[in-house]
Amino acid sequence: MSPQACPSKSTDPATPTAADTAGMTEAPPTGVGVMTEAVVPVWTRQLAAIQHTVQGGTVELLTSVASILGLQDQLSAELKNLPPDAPFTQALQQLNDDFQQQCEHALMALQFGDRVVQMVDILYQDTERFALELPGMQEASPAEAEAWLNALEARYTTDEQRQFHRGEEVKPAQDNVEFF
Amino acid sequence: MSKTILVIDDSGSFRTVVKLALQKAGYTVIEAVDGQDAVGKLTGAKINLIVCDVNMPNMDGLTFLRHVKTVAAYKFTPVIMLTTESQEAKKAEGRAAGAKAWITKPFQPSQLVDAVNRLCV
Repeated sequence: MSPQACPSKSTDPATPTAADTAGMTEAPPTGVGVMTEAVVPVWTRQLAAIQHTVQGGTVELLTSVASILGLQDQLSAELKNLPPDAPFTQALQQLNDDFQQQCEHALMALQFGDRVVQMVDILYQDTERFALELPGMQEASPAEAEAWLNALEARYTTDEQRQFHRGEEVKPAQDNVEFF
Repeated sequence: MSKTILVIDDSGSFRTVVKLALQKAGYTVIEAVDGQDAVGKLTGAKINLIVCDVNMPNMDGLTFLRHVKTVAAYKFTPVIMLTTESQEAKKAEGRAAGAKAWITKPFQPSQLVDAVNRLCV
């Protein structure tokens, strides 16, 4: 809502007069505008912080996994120097295989952090854009709301985001490798 | 001599995941941060396979895929699209542009390595 569209303020004795504001080039925002300017930056900062935190954690975890993979390579190399039929070699081989499997799980799990960062990034950008446009949406129609929702949906990159958007239950992912 | 894979993704951590998986399987990995950066890496040196994300800034993966098919030295280099995107329309676009496989993130590293082993020239 623009300041000019807020008649109750003009009768308020506490409201600055034209003389008071003569030196000002623009009246401060009120109503939806002031609320948007006050609240939305806090949310966008929080979203940016989430992104930063998850990203930092992912990088640290990746560094650890890379080190573990390096150690596992050393173990594999050492195993080649041991007598293959000795019971301790077989036990170490089993340990090595388990190690490899756990590393594989870790590399898969690490991708979820990256996914969260991407989802938050889209939310961050959409929130900023919405905040910018909100003051001009005083007379928005249902069709315009629908158009906004469609535009949001068009920016998603995962089925998961589309299902969240529509309030649908998230379906488990199907087979994720397809050859052409 | 190990085979060389060009990995294109705007996420540094994701490139690292792919790199770790492929290096573990004995491949040499070259990285690019988006399609535009990847175009700069097509210097004529042998690249045996390309792993490419779809949604990236500057030049997206499908645009890069169409571009690479016009470069004589790389037109037969197999391309695997590796992306969070799983819409059938996008997959069809990738297929039409010449991708050999579509892998949806998150993926098991062994799945990627199997696909690379199968398609690597």
